[in-house]
Amino acid sequence: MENKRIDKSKIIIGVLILAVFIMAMVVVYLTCFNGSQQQDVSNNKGLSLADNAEDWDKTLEDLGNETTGIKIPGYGEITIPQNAESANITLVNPEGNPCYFEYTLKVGDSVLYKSDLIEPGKAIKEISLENVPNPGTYDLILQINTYSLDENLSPMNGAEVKTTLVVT
Amino acid sequence: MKRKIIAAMLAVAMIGSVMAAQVSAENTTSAQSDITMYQPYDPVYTVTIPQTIEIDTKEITNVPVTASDVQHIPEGKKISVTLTKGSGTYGRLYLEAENPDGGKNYLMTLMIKGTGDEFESGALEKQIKGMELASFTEDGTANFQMYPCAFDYPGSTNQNLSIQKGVEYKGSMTFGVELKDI
Repeated sequence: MENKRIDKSKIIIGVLILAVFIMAMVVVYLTCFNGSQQQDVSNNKGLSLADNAEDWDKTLEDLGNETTGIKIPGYGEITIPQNAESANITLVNPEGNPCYFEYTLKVGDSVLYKSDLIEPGKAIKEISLENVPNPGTYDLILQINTYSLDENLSPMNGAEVKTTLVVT
Repeated sequence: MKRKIIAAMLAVAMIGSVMAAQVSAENTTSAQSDITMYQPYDPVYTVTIPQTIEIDTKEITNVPVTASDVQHIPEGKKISVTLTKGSGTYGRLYLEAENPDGGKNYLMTLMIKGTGDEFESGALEKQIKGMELASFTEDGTANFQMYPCAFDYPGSTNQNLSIQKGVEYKGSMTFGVELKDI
């Protein structure tokens, strides 16, 4: 009888250890394998780091002679189909820039895409689109707002890059 | 009781195996290979604008703008860098400083000259917005110029026409970058 009680206790302890182990596995899974590791870089400005930005290692990082300047990428003509829900446009913040980039793509007042903050040396390579206009040729504005890398996220000199958008 | 314990163990083991399978599925390469190809719309040139501009209080300030990789732009085009707007009301180009006495903030309008011949007043937003500051057909650096309008009013006692000592004036600019026909 005494032995049976001891056995039951052992089994219960075993089950509890197993349960704790599985819970630990779940925690590890959620922390390591979940893709949404978005970092909130500001608690009061509603700005956050883009979680879809990838490392950017192309030649732009070596361009520009002004070490204290902000490198602004320029784009050629872009063509997209009218029913496109996404586009492979590389929105890059060149390596060495002293600021975060926030891109807003606009045709007139209509916003096609707005990014979160992109760190220097990273790029968003595929963007989801909305408000794609009817087939035709338009001026596409890539508005680049810049923010300091410190916790203040102070606005810095920005740019609006204009290019041609062809909607087919 | 024994059955309940065994049932509980089985349930826990099933949950564990489901979790393990999910983790495993994300980390195991399958035999199938997806093949894709696309040419993204990468940047084709770079313009470097100033991170900060320190306006000289005694002389005209030269502000450098640099263009790189210009050889990749289409033939017959140039890179044009323009002033989109200043940080002032209506996009006017002026600097603002806090009045330590609690009065109205100090304003200092900036005069600006790009590829044109004349300086324009930052207070006249219709004249300065879109003004070309530099253009490039090859890699290089070009300067545009700015100075505080106080230079044009020596001896003025107006708080916005003379540079106030001991206060920090601040403002910012938004640049336009585009390809234009030569």
